[in-house]
Amino acid sequence: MTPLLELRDVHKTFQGRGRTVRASRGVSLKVMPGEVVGLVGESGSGKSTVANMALGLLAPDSGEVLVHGERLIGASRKREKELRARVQAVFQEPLLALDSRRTIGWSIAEPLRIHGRGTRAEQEARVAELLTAVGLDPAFAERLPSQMSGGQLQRVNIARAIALDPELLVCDEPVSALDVSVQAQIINLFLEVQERLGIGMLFISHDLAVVRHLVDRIVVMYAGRVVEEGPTDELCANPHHPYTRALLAASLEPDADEAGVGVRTATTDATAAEGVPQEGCPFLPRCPLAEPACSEMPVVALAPTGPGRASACRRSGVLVEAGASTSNHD
Amino acid sequence: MSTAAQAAAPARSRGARRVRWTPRRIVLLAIGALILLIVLFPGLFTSDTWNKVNVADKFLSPSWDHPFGTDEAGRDILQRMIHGARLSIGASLAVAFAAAAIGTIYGAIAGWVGGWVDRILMRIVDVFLAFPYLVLAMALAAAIGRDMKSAIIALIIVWWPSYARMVRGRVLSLKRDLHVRAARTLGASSAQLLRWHVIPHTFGEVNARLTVDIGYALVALTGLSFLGLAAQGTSPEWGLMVSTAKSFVLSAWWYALFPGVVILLTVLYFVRVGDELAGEES
Repeated sequence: MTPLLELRDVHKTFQGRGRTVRASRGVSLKVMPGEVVGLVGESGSGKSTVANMALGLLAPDSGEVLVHGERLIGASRKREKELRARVQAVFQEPLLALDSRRTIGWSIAEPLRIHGRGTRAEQEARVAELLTAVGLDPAFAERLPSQMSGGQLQRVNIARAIALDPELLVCDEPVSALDVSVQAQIINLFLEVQERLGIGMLFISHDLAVVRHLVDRIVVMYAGRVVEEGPTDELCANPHHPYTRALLAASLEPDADEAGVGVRTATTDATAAEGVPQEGCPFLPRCPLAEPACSEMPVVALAPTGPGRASACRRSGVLVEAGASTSNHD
Repeated sequence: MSTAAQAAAPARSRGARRVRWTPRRIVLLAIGALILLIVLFPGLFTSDTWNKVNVADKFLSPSWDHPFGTDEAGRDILQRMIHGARLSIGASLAVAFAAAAIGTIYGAIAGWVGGWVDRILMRIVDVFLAFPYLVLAMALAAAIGRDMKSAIIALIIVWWPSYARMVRGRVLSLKRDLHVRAARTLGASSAQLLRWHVIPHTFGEVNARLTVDIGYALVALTGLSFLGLAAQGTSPEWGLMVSTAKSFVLSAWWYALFPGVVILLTVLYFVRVGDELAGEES
């Protein structure tokens, strides 16, 4: 079976004013048909770069980004259009993702118009059907984005993303900009859509708590690398990488330091990008499990630590054993 | 089903922002309507004999019958100006709209494509902008043919580059906007992205400048006429009237004064409306 989306050893570096950000340093990941994969990591870990490359909005410096086994960038215009119809996106800022000058109905009908699906009347009927499917009144079609709330707008974006019956949704922090009360509703909508359409998803979030109820498998990124991956329940019950453990603690406790994890939960780009050593383990300065020997090693590659699981840490073994003896990581 | 279709029906209409109608704006709109009426139907405001020579009435000073007085051929100056509005304002509109359209498309392509295409296209714009535009327009109008049509073409040629530069700058930032990138993931082509999501977002600024430029084009055009490079002969074009009147300044002060004042007020009107649009934009 061909993966819906596959990244093979993808690198991407941004050159800024006197500053180089290596957003992606050899990321590999796959999303199989119908599979829901969560990509987590703090801001600056390279998640959004991966999303933009998966969507063909950004070309990798090296490595391959394949949709159905084919490259999006560099494909013929006709083929690119066909591939794009299969992979749709939901972005973080629901208001900015829509054209402020266009009505909601126009925006939802846009993918149908681009791909020449149906007559105008059929498109209008489909817009009404899609609005109903995402829990909105079809009368919203004549509104402008500025006349709607963030939660309603994200529903509109979801309606637009499923208009073409895609096989994969790439969702880049789709609930981060919403009120907490609305977040749960939108996550439920994603669950509902996923169940009904059997669609594959790459769901990107900085918040493990958001992702764990939605996805089959979790991929954890740190400083442009995948540091751990595994099935959701097992990975959350027993993380094999100290960074995952810190993320879990941060998503459970209001203050990670007081919880005794001993790791700063950094949230800014700068911390992640600048606080990372150029050589060796990128997590070393923040790692509670670090030993002197860790600093003498090159970067540890992602290696299997169990069935369907992998971690990139010299000390994974300690965590694997800890998990085997107790079921609770706290 | 009927309610659903009904709800989706206005989906093709463009999103228009609601305009606040302050008294000032209502007055500006009323003046605009009057100008439009004069330009489209000058006959409504004048007698049929407005352009007829009547030597007996020559150089009558302003009175109730002839508010702006009469000229050297005994024609009513106000009536001639009403008929000349079509030439002077119409030509200014043509210059501003054509320059805006050409500049928008040119600038949008430069900003969108980027790279060496952008560099070449913008160097060409720089060449145009390096000349004082009126001097260049005079030279072009004289070279092309010293009539209204040549003057209009000359002014369009010197005017579009400023739009190209403005629109290019907007497009450079617009093409990175999320709504444009989101539409690309839907599968939209570059032409569709430009037509639907990029160029319409430049209209606000373009319209504001365009309105002001109608006024400036009027100055430029009547200026060219005054210098004998645009309207010729017995045409009631405003700049030409002022030009003819300058020989009679000592004997008929009203002849040059009223056309001059009307040109000034018309320019101020368009500049004012342009400012209003620019304010709405920001």
